Amino acid sequence: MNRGPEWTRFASDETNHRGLDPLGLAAVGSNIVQTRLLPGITNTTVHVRYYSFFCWVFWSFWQNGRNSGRISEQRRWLTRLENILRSATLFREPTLRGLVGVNKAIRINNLPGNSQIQIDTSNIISAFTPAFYSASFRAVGCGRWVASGQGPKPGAHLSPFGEQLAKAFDSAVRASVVTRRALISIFSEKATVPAKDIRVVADAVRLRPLSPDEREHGLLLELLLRLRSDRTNLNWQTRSRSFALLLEIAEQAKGRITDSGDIHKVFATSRLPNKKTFLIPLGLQLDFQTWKRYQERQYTKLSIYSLWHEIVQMLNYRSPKTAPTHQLLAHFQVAFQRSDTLRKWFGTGYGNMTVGNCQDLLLRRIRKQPEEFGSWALTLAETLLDLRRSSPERVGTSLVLLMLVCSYWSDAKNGLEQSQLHRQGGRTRLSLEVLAADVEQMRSETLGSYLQWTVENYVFKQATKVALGKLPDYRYFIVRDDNGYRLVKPDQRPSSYLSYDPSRIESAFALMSELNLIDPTNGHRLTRTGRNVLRALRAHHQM
Amino acid sequence: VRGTQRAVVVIDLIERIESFKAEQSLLMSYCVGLPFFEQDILPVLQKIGEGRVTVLLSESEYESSFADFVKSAGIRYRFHPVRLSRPNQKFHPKLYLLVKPGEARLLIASANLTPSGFRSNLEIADEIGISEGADGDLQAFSQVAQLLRSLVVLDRRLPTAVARELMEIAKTLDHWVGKGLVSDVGPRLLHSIDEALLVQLLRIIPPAGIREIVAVSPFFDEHCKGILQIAAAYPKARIRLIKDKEPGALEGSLLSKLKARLFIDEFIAADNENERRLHAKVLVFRDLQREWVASGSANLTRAGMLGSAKTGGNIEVVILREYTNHDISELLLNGIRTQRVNAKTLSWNPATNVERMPSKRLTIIDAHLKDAQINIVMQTTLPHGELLYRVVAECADQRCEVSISAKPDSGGSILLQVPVKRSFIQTEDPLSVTVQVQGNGPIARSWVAVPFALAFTAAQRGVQSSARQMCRRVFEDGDAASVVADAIANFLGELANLTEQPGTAVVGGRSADRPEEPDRPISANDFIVSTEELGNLRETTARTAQAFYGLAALLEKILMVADTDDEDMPADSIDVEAVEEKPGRQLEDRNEQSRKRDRVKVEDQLSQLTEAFRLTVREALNKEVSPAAVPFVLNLPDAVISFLLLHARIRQLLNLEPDRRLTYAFRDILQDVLSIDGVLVGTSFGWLVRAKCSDRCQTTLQELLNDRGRMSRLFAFIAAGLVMAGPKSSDLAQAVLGGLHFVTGEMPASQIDEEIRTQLGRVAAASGGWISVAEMEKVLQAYAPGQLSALSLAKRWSAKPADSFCRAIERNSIVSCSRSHMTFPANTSVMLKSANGDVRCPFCRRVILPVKTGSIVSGVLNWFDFVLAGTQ
Repeated sequence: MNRGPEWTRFASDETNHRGLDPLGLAAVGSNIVQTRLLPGITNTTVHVRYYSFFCWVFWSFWQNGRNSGRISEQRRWLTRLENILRSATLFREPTLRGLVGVNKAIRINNLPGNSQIQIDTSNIISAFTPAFYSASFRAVGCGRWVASGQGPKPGAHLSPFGEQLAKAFDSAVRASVVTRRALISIFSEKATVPAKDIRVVADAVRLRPLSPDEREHGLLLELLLRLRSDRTNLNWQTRSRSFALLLEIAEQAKGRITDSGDIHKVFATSRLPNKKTFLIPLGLQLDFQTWKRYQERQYTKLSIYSLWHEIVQMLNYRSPKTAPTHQLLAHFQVAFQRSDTLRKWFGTGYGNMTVGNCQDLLLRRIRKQPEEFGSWALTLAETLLDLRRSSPERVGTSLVLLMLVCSYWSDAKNGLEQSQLHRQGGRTRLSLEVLAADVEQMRSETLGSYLQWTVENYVFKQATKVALGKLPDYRYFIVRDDNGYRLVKPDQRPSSYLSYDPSRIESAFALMSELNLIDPTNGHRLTRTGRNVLRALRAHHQM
Repeated sequence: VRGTQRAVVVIDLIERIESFKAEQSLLMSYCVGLPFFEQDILPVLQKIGEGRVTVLLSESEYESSFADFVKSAGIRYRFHPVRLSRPNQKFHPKLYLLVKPGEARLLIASANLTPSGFRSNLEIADEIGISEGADGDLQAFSQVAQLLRSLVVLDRRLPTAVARELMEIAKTLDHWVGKGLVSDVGPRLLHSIDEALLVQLLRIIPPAGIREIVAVSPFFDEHCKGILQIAAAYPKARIRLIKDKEPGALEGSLLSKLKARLFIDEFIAADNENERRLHAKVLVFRDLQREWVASGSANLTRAGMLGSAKTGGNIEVVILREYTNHDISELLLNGIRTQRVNAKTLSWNPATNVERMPSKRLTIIDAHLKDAQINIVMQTTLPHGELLYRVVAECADQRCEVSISAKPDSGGSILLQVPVKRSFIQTEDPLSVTVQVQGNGPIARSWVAVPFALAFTAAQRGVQSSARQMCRRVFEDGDAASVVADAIANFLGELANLTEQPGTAVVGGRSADRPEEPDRPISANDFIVSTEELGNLRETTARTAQAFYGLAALLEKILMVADTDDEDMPADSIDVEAVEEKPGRQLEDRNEQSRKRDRVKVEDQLSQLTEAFRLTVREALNKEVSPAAVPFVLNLPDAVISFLLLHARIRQLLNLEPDRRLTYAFRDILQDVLSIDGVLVGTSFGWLVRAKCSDRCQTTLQELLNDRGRMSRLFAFIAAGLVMAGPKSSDLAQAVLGGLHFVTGEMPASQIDEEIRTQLGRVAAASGGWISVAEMEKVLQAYAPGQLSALSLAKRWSAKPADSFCRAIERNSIVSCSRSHMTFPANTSVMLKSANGDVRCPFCRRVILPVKTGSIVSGVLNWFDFVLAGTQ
């Protein structure tokens, strides 16, 4: 038996973490883009020459007879050449964005030519990791991976297409006697390489745009657009159509597209920045509809994350203490009562209206002007993205946007193309179908009760559910403690959750720009090469 | 700075709870972090035995729980508020009582059942124990029993089941204490239900001799009444207050009159952890030699120390120990670092945490599920007329709403009965109800107790959740997962039902008699599982549970790896900066060897699970035909076929060869459940056929089959099972379908309506292409009662004159001749069943009549005669 009272042991498992999606809603939008719009491209694949460079790395590895059967050997080879690429790129373009491992890269600009550069350093992140290019490398068809024990030569192996790319890169690097000489030390076993050798090969090796007369250009164009390759590979053709769609929008917008936001507006409203209706090419109708579904998913995600943002703001204020649940809920009710947005959309008596009344109002509005749904939703979404808005405005806007999209879905779902995308994720990821079913079930509740229910279910419960699902990793952003909720992760950047899911459009434009299809200097305009490519794409996709 | 902060003895609350291996737990806390409790504490409390858990908390905190992600309230544990009469009173104890056969442990703490309370705050906790041999802290446990009884009397709105449980525990503790010599030796447990704590302390600790008081408390009342009253009660004592560093908790100016006697220290650190918040509540009273240490839930506030629950104070519980020297408190206080502060610098400015009290005009005092309806017992102070109540029941993503008129009785009680669909309640999610008086009237909310689910044992719960978890992982399609998981979960659910034995509540391992009621009738809604009735069935179920756990965990690991390894579809990098900073995994190199090892492990676990499952089913089928067992056996085909689908899907996912042995084993089970062949010697009727012929079981069976959904599922699963058994089993198929026809009264071939077709579709989808709807329809349509071989044999032989034949008599699986009384050779039964010609007795040379006699046989034959006559 115990001798008496004792202090309790400190056993907190709370750790700060880098998670960015507290409600687990990002996966649906990301998945739509990942599998149905731009497969193989990610938000980090912004330099097209990485593909040919990696092909060259692995091709030269096998060419040099380095096949001991150990993956570590290939890894050392990769490290060596990637260090050269980084130094070479920074030598010519010290501020280039998207160079992986830039923080620890070796800069040779101010070094004497004979200084020896350590190029076997392996403490730098490689771009050949799934987070950057390795997964994309496989997905776009450069090569494949043989695991240990699966074949005599484990490691990365090139596809025939990858080999062509590697050879094209190699011939660019070996274009002159001096570069060929420099390659001798680069390909040697020595741990160091003279800085001058890196400088010599810098232009040939570095990440840079390609001109249409380079051999690599045509191959990389084909790698991404697949105009001549296997038509049965659905992922390749899907990506090709998305590139075509983006080029088509840029072409019709005549330089009025400046960033991905403008493209999202086109998807939302079907109108170009110059107010003209975007003429969707026949062969891209389905892709355009898929982008629309992606866009609609962003509205529901933003609505729910705006409520989350309110909670985080309040808990931040109370941190490190808890805020009682009922006080948090009361905050929403106060904001609800003061919301001009709700008054504007539902009239002054919205406080006494039921969910059913509001839904009917929205339905009437949508049916009267169906073409306006996109611009209404977009305007509301832009309000939510503006962090300077007041709580009443944000809460009211969230509620209106959520109900607007649900009403739109309940009215249009049967005739909507790619409607199955709004079923993706189900209850776990709060799909639009689930949200709309909840609205339907709550028709007889008042709007205020629905708001409370939404906060309870889509924010508090969802946040806990997602964190529990990630155990044993500690991924709580807020935690139920004492008499309410407490902020665990105090440094949450609103931009990490109050934003669109990565659409990869920026990456696609970056790649097209490096292939000289787009000139981004004064709005995104198609170059002559770009127009030629668009023509070829139109023919290929029967647009 | 005071305190050496040398190494001190610390207590780990979770470890103390886990190490006891409780079978029944009663937890009381002011607030409960339900996600934390369900994730970290509940599994520990439900590892073995019945794992009965009841959680009591304050009313205001109960109201907040509806916003929390709750998975098990009312399903795996009882969860109820303790309601006090005045709004500012708090149910504030932190008591964790753990019971197992012959033994109990009680933790008395300052820690709420929350992550902070159990992990990060600096809290105080003490522990007492008792065992059946009158060993342990008898005085304190006698007071625990008294506390439980007082609580039941104080809060008359506790649900009946909870009140009964408290009384049962109190009785058990009294029983254990009664065996020993109760004296005033040992620690005392003081509570404030009937009398203020300070009054009790004054009675025990003589004020005259007390020279020093050390009070550790994070909270004080606005007017410092708690401190001033203690100072007045012990006028010769010097007082050292230790408080948290959080500002605004104490109005120092009010303490000026104690200036010569009072010293205030602020807590700085303990355990070398600077981030801890002081939440402990301790009072140390010292005279020249002795000291008394009171620790537990009571803050040095007016509500905590000066009032009783009956006079408007909180309910607090502390444990008081007496020592003959000052060692304990020295050790305790040296374990923390503090810093002296000037009282004048302290002010009262607490955070504005206004508690939200629910409406007193409408209170749900009990809500439980019974016979597919929710019984809601309410109390109201609304006018005594008939009112319309809007009731919303919510369960996971389902919601139903009804309006019911009701009138309170003279005591203000109302009973609402809300029917809910079976599908609504057959989930593993908790159920809640919201009742509102129509027209924006007062609202009340409650979690609904599901006695059926609460009665599961630890093993059953384990299998159920593992089965669901596994199905969710294994089947890509959510509906397919639920078809299979529901069937397996129902199987286990009905198993719990089968073993239900009302009136044998087990508290502390001893059957308790019905307790004396405080002053209310106790309904018979409660649900108690006997631990002794299951015999082999329990053993095999436990083995199944074990195998399910193992396999579920292994699959989770393997399939999760498979999920994240799909690099054909590269994902976006969510935090590029983070990756930049942490060069780790470079070239991907999956360890194929380790995967192979995992596959072998899965195969091994799958075999163990299959064997355990098969044994469970066998044991269940060995049970006598009884009405209680009917629901369980009726679910067997669904469960068995679902298990087959799950098994096949796992093998497919892991690229393992199909295992046909399993199909054969389960084909036999189908036969044992439904075969009609029992009319013949050497063969037995299916269990359900015998149940249908039993007067006792017939009604139960019919009631269950009136549920169209259940019957359709049965048809679909049996069709699937017969397709899996293959075309060579056409005789078996006919016999099983014959049984199905007889049991349900519906002809399989002609009853493929929309509902059955839907179920066929779901099962086909769950099979992942293994079985098609067309195949299943074909099997059902191939059934022709006129061609049942057993029936045609019986028909052929039953008309024969008995004199020129001998009858085969079956007794204890031995078949003998009715004339010569000699035992037939072993293969005679098989020959009788299959032979087209005559089979003669090797002893009397007469032709053997292969048909059994008896009421079941004649009942079956007559029924088929009647049916066949109708179809011709």
